[in-house]
Amino acid sequence: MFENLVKWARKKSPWILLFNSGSCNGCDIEVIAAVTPRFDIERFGIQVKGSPRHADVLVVTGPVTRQQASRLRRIYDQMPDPKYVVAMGSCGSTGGVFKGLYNVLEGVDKVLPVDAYVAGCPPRPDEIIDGVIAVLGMLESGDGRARSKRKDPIRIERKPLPEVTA
Amino acid sequence: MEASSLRPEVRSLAEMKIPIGPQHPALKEPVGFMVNVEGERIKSLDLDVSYNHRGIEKGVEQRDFNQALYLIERICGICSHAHATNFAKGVEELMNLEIPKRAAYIRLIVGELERIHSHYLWVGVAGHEIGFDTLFMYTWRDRELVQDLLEIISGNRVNYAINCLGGVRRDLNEKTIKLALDHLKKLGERAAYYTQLATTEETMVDRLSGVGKLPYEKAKSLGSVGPTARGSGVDSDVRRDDPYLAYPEVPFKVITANNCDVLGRTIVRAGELAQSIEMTKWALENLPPGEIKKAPPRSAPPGEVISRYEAPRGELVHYIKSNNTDKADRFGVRTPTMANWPSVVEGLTGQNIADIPIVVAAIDPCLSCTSRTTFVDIDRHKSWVWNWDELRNYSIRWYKENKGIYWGD
Amino acid sequence: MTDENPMLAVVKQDLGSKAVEVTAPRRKRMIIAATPETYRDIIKYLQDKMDCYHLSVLQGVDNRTNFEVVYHFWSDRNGMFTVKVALPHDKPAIGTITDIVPAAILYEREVHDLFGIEFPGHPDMRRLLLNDEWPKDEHPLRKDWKMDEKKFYGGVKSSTGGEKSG
Repeated sequence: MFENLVKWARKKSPWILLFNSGSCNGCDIEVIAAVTPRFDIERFGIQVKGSPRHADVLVVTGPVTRQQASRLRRIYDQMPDPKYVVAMGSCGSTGGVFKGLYNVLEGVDKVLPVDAYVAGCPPRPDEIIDGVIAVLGMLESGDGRARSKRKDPIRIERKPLPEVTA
Repeated sequence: MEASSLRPEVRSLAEMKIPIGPQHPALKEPVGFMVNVEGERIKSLDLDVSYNHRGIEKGVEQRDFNQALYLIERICGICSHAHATNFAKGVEELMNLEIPKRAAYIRLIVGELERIHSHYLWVGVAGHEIGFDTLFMYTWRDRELVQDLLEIISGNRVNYAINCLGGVRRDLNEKTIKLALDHLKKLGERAAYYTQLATTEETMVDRLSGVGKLPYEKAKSLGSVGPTARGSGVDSDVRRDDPYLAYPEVPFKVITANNCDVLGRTIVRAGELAQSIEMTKWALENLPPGEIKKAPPRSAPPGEVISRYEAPRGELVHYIKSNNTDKADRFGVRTPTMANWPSVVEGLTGQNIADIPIVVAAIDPCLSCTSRTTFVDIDRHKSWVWNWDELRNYSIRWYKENKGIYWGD
Repeated sequence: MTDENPMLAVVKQDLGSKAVEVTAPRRKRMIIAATPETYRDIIKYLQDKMDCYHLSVLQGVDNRTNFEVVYHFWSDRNGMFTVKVALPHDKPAIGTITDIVPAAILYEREVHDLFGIEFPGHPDMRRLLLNDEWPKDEHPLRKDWKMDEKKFYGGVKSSTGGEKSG
């Protein structure tokens, strides 16, 4: 089943858009390291690009500072459907070490609906690839279920998005 | 490139004599860079740093020293050890606590490994910015050797948390030292190759010379630090001039270059890479025996300290005030990227848009690569927004068409 | 750490009554307490006679009873000189030094954002760190500052209105 997913990914060549919402850059380096020869995410057919208009998966690092919140939402709105969001690291999930600081919104799910959380500070490149592949399974099946190697597929509830400043 | 006509009130704002770029109420989008251009020439350049402001200085006042250490590590993920060590040694100075020699050596070893990984990272990023993607892939592949070492020594590839107040958290055993020396030998050979490539290969030299000019006097008066200043001939390095940890005992040279441009900064970083590899080897071979930590007191007596550290990007300053409690009363950080920003403005004003990616990359900024740039051409009534990829592609294309410099990657 | 600073006596003599107090906690560190009337002369003295070519940073401090602006100057030969100027809590202001120290341009903006200290004469006083929606007269690093639950500080609004804080 994984092989079919890889074949599909190589054909479709899904694009990842990396967005830094105020992180320390640790997660960003590990995402970029995933592209380099040791981990080589491109062998799965996945590419990391800079434009939202062709992206399939939005990978967000950082705890979402106040300044970045509206830009993050704008980038998400510019992406065509189907689109999925991966919250990177402990900052993306809950704010991480920055929890309680005045300029931080504590987690990507305060601004966007998140499909996968990848744990770590920062997550290793192979863990990042694992998270992205799981989300691509959702993209391929189109039914909101993560086709990872887990026996119980995850169903994500989509809550209405909070209002963001212009 | 979308054309948009500017309203009269915006136009008059733009004509005010402000040294670093006017605000444009017409463009509400929060962007990383704002560039005023005339055709292809940059008239002024402004940077928005508010996107990365988290409120750490206030947060440290609410955490005790041990908790604060973990927060301060994540001010920057690339020089996390620099921040943590600087804070730890500042608080230890306030507490009048001297750490064991072995701990000082281990902190130095991890610090120099961090410098090695950071400079390797930089060579790769610089290569990527000018279109030399093969260099990017090679250097980041080799950098993985350093990451492996750091993981074995500390348990994590990034954000190593090797420091604790009073010393270090983990020790190095014989096996680790042997593996480290082995990796360093390999890294040394590769570093020699990249150094030669980055500093003498014709296309590379053509591409980097004369770009981002920063004369010696300007480098000093604008407050530049680190390889940016040393690439303009400023002979200053915190490890030699304001020594800390075990630096007085470790033999090393401070590398400077007189080119005053991006090539100078490249030469300095390549030289520092080789120096750091030698220093780490020396420290591993001469690691003194003994304890790795000393129990710190609960609170720090009232006082203030200015702690300085030579991070891979330059001088890092922490200003810490204590008041007889277990928390810092004031914690002020000045990152080297902030100190180097005026030199970027200096190096780009009057230059071509195509120079922006490499000149910004040359100060090795702790900025996100997803910055968007707004360009405003007042005279032609045009403005447009590019993301960093688009700006980089424009730059690579420009140099191919106008100077014949291209790697075909 | 208890070694003496060889420049202490020289500086004390040269500055005379211009400095309120001169102390040297150790080698390569000196702290000079100045007044708003004398700080510029002291800074010029440090630049001309003590070879302080480098402004490391200038920062604000809130001591609860007053504010302080601290200027840290570095000289390769003579070490670090910190010039402190105490300012009242009510309308704190101190003239800019960007005309004699160009490197101060960004640091004064930062102190203004975080403490509300004015720097008359600064050529380009705009927000540096706080986002555009942050209320105009709220300065987060002041000791008596607390986040107001009812105000909006930038970021996302929940659908019921008011701000979503951590």
